[in-house]
Order: sequence, then C-alpha cells, then structure tokens
Amino acid sequence: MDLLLVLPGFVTKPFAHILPPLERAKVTTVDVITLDSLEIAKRARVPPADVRRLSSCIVEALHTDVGFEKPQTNTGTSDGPSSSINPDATTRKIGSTKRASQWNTISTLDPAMDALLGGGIPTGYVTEVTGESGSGKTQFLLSLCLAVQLPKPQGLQRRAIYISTEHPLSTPRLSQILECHPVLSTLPAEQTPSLQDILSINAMDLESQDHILNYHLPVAIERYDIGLVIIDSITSNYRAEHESNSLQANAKRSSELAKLGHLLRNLAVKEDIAIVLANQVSDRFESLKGSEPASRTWFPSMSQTPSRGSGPVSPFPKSRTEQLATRNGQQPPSSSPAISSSPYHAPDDKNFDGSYLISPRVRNSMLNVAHQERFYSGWGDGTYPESGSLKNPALGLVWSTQIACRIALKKEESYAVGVSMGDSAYLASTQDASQFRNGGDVNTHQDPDSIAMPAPYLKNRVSDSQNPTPTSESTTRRTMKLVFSPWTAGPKDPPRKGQPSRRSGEVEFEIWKGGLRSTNHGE
Amino acid sequence: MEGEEQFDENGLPGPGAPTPLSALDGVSGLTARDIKLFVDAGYNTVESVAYTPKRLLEQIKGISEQKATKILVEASKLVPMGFTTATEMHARRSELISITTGSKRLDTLLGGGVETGSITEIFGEFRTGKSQICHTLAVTCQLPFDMGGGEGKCLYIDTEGTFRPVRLLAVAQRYGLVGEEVLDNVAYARAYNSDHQLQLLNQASQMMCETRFSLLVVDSATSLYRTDFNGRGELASRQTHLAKFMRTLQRLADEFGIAVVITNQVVAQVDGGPSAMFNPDPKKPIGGNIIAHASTTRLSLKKGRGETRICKIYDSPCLPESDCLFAINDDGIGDPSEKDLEDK
Repeated sequence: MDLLLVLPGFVTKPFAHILPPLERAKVTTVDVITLDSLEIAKRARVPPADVRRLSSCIVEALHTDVGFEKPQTNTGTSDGPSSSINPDATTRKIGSTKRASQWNTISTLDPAMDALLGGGIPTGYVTEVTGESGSGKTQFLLSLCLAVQLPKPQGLQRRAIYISTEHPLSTPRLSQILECHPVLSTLPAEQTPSLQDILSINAMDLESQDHILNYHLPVAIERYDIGLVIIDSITSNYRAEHESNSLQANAKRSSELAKLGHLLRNLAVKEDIAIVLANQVSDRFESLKGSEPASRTWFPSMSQTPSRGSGPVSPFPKSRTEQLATRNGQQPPSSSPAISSSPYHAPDDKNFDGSYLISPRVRNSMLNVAHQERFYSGWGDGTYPESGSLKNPALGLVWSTQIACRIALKKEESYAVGVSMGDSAYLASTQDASQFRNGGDVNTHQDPDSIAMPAPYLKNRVSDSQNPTPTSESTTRRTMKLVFSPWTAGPKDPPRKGQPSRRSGEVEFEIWKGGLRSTNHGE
Repeated sequence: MEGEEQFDENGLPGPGAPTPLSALDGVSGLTARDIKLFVDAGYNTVESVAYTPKRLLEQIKGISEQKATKILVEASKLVPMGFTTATEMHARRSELISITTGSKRLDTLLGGGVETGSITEIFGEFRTGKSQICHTLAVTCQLPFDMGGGEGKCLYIDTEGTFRPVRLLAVAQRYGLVGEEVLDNVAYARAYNSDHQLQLLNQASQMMCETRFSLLVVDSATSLYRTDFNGRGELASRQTHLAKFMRTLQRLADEFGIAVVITNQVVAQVDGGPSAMFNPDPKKPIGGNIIAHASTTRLSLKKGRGETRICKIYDSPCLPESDCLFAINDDGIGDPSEKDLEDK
C-alpha cells in the first residue's frame, strides 16, 4: 500500500491490524478514500467500520497536509518520536516562507566576487561551481566552509557539512586560510570560525553517496544546525560508475541525476540551507559527429567580421562585435550587410523586429545542443575571446537543469613575452598587474619555514630549463564567471572608466594563502 | 566524540552502545512483523540497518521498497552520523605519514614527501625522471618511519617494461638496506592491457589485506590506454575505463592508507589555441580531465642542466604552485650538487 508514500507522517498505529490485509488485497490509498468502504472491507476481509475510520483519518491528514486545517496536536504528541515529522510539517512550512523573505547569503569574503554573485551564495538554492582541475574549485569551497560560520551579514552562524568524493577534506589548508585571511584572522576569538564546526564524510562510491545524501544528510542538517552543504565533487562517482557511451546507460544516469537534483533542491528550500556542489569538466569538441554542420557554415555573417581570429568561431552579436573590434584597436566594420539579417541579435538591439530571416536549416542548428550549450555551460558564449580551450561541465544538459546557479572557474595559461595577439592591450596590462602582484606575494607572504623557494633561487629558475627559445614565464590567469543564476543580473556592469576594458561579468582572481581573492578591485 | 553528546538532545545511549532494532517497533508504520523480518535477515541493531544500502534491505523477503526506505529514514535518525568534524580529521591527518623521495628539496616542495592516502601523479617527457622517482620511492617506502619511510611493502605495476631491479639495489645500498630483502618487499606485476591493469588492482587489494603495504606505483597509468583505444570514436569508452581505474586507485589509497603514485605521459599540444604560440614548450599530460580531476597532487617534471630536473607543482589542494630542482644520481633521486646550483 502506498499510504506512507502519500503521507509519510501518517500515524498508522491505530490501523496496524487492517493495513496488512489491505496491502495484500492491493488496495491503494486512493481506493480507500474514493471507493465505498464496504466494498473495500469485503475485498480485504476487514471490518468495514475500521476502513471507514481509516478513510476519514486519511482525508483529514490530506487536508492538513495541503494546509486546509490546523494540524491535530493530540494525534501528534500521543505517539512520541514516530510522528515527529507530520505536525512539524505545517509549522515548518510557515517557518520556511518566513525565512525565505529574509535573504541570506554566504559571503565569499571578497568584495569583487560578492558583487559578481549578488552578495554571495544564497540559501535555498543549489549552486554549482565548475572548472577544470586546479582552477580553484576546492579552494573556493573551503573558504565558504569558514564563511558560513560568521555572523550575518557575511555568514549564517551555522555549521557546514563537507561531503568529499575525491580526496578527503584538506584540513591543513583550512587552518591556513583561517590564519591568513584578512577578514577571518582579525575576528574576535569567539566569532572565529573553527574546524570543530565543519563536519565531513567521505563517499567513495555511488551507493554510499546516495545513502548518505538520502538518509544521513537530512537528519544531520537538523541535528547539527547546518547552514551549508558542500559536495566535492558531485561528478566523480557518476563518472566512474556509469558508462556514458550507450543510450540506455545515459538514460539511466539521467533519471538518477534528476532524482538527485530533486532531493537536493528540496533540502535546500526546506531547511533553508545553501547547497554548493563542485562539478568537473570535459573537453568540448567542435564537431564530434561528421553529420553536424561545421561551425562556419552556421554563421554566414562571420566571414565578414574582422575580429574572427581573436576568438573562437562564434556568433558575435552586433554590439559585441563592435566592442571587440574597438578593443583590438580596429574600427568596427562600417557596413556589414550580413549583420542586419543575422539571426543573432543582441537582446538590446532595438532594430530587431522579431522576425527571423533565416532558413529553417539554420534555425535548427541554432536549436542544436552543440550551439546552445555555450550559453549555459559557461565557456565560449562569444562575449569575450578565450585563450583557453573550451570546456563543458560534466553530466550534461540534464544536470544543468537541476541546478539554480552555475559559477565557472577558468584557468588560462598565458605567456608574458611576445604578447602581440589581438587582445594585446588587455592582456599585457593584466599580465603586468598579475605578475607584479604575484611577485609581491611571493616576497611579502613568505613564511620563513614555508615551502617556497629562497628568493634568489626564484629568479634563477627560469634559466634552469633548457628551453631553446627566449625564456618566458607562464602566468596562470584565473577568472570566475557567473554563468547563470536566478537572483542576480550578473554580467551587466559596464566597464569602468580609466580601466583597461576588463571582462564584465567575470572577476579575475588568484589563489593565495588566505583562499581566493580578486586581483583587480581597488585599483 | 566530545561534540556528539552536546548534540544528542534525544537522550539516546551514547555511541558504542548498539540499539536493538526493536526500538523502531511502532515508529511511523513499522510493525513488529516488519522488525521481525529484518531481525531474521540478520539485522539486529538500528546501526546495522542505518549503514546498509537500501538495495540490500530491499532484497529481504517480505520487505517492500517503501518499507526499506521507511526503516532507513527512522534508523538514520537514531544513530550517530558518519560525519566527523574537521578538527578530528585534522588530528587524524597529522598522523599521516609522507614517504621521502630521497631529495630534500623535493621533500620540502611536497611538504614532507609523497603523501599517503592520496594519489600523486607525476608527468613529464621521457627522460625527465618519472620512473626514477618511482624506483627510489619503491625503496624508501620500506624505511622505518623516523627515516621518512612508510614501513611497508611496495606494489609496482609496470606497463612499459621499464622496471629495473638493479636500480632498486643501488638505492638500497644508499640507505644501508639489504638488497635482497628490499627486492623481496617489492611486488611486481606487468600489465599487458588496460583491462588487465584494472584487474591487477583487485588482486592488489587482496594482497594488501594480508600484509602491510605503504606504496602502490603504476608506471605508467596511461600508456596502455594510449594503445588500446584509438581515435575519437573510442574516446568516451577510454575515459570511462580510465575513470574506473582512477576510482579504484582512490579507494585503495583510502582503505589501506597507502600512497599511490602514478606516472603519466605528455603530448605536444598542437591545437592549444593562441597561448600555444607563446609557450615554447607546449606539453600537456594525457588522460584529459578524468586524470586531472582524479589525482590529488600533480607534479610536472622538466629537464634541467645535466642530471638536474625541475619539478613543479601543477595542482594540489594544499601546496602552493612552486618548483624546485632535484637530481638523478646513481643511487636514485637526490639533491643537485652545489656545482649545478651555482652555475645558474
């Protein structure tokens, strides 16, 4: 019988004697409340009066469940721990709406990143942080673990749970961040976050991961007053235990992911907690199947845009093309006839009359996932040229629909010497800034007993390599990009004056001993 | 656990005292009959139910999926969680041992040596010292703890046929160990294809149950995949296979507290986009994102002058990005001589 599925908190004790026969007779809950109780009693061979009583109890409970009636406190308290869920359900419902009206966020402890994320990571949503290996996902999550313990407005003054599926929680790093971060290290002792308030567990296979998420996590959240749940990463168990090369396996994985997403979203809303997941990436191939049209044929207008070489082949909307061209020190094309008929209108294009002057074939390819994915994956949406290779967050479209917000962390290796490419002005300036900063860091933040090299050696290391060409030091440029989120407009702030036009909607950051910090604020 | 009692407002018996399953009798629709079914199937305590996967509970005769869910939810409420605080983990971690690489500089770079309980990936071109580091580690892992060792045996999975016992003897001599004993303590297996490579790990876990191992070396982890799978068409199945392999390694590291060291080859990056133009040496490790995400610490090796090599931290959750010099000597990995350092 599906009674406990329909009403998980229903007190079955008074009906314990008629339920097994009903179950045997395959009577469903719907049957009980819709069919004549006499008939049911006959079919299951139970006293009709009891069925009638059961039926009215169910109806009452259903009414309570949807909020028509006040919960009956007497049925709740009489049964001790068993009924702890149902009477609470309604009160919690009221509570959660009250809570939802207060907007709570967990700060990233960096003003520029907070601005990008509209204040930080809010409660009640499932947020995903994606990026390639070494892009700073784990570092970001670690600092959230500490920030959640701060008093409002920076945190929630609640505990954090860290579920790791890749490598165990790096506690030395956690205490290092705690010591070095300017905000965290200057707090009075009683407010300082502690490792004691971070709970962690390892889930090394899919089965235990599911088990922990389904059964242990909800209880732990209530018992320990949790404000933040982190899963680092959500992907690794799925990647290892699911074949992704057959349609059937993919379908199975999809349904499991949908279930997982449902579970996490419900938890986030019900308990008013922030759930942050790390996701891995896979490389994107421009055209995996030969049947797909090559990207160039999709966009006939592209052949006329001069700035193509500086970025991936992508449909730049008119206004963006101009931006780009200006940055390159070139004039935008005086008249680019194809652009007016281009299917890719910027949302702010006022001349767009709403009609699509494009052939169905082109439109179909626009609806193709290979084209669409650039807008939700975070890579290659063509707003800015990207020097790194394009990535796709793992787990595909199905997973992308499960999450409320996606934050992409990008890591690009760039080289300081001989910068002469299209984006030179931009690159060179950020290079200088970041190099200067990096250099500064190495010297100022050096612990005497840290693992860093002695300074003279640092200078020498370049010449150690037997590189035939003039040596060039590679710099890792990291950016955080808000791909989508329901609570903030994201990439809309205009480039500030007096600054080399930096990528709006992206924050450049670096990883130092105190966690993450943005590199271009306050300049 | 100190914090546990503080949270235990329900007045439950503290951890350690198992609760009989009958405690769940009558709780939200669980009848005495259901409880009896579970007890008959061998689940006598609330704890045993709470830690059993639902799949197994459903297999009990007479228990529906719904009942299994119900009892799991209720049982989980009564038992202490598997969650541990970070403080406790930190205490446990400080007991973690690191295995010395033989070079003081390299050890400092790695914060003490190769960490046990996690996967360390070493990649670089040929002749950059990947296999040499593995050979040295195979000996140093047998050293006593106070000498920077792991006091355990080594399991060496070789896929390229580069294992040379002679090198082990040379390293053994340096540490004053008896050569024969050192060789006895290294279990060697040659893998011939990628399936075989994965299979060997299952045998490895059996061996690790029997004796104490402290190191598992796979040299190299990816070479067989490079030949067994061809082209883009088989890329998906290759990466899935590789992910399974890495996962098994991670579980071994986790379960037995061993250090796992894998080596990886590199490919020249020909289509790396604009950045490749300015990179004089565009090389990247193979195995793609799967390997990248799965290994905890990634080390990149480059050739230096003479016998010196440069090791750079490519990715690590707790080490800053920096590099150092080390040397390949006759007796394994060591520090570069003063002469080599002064030259620059």
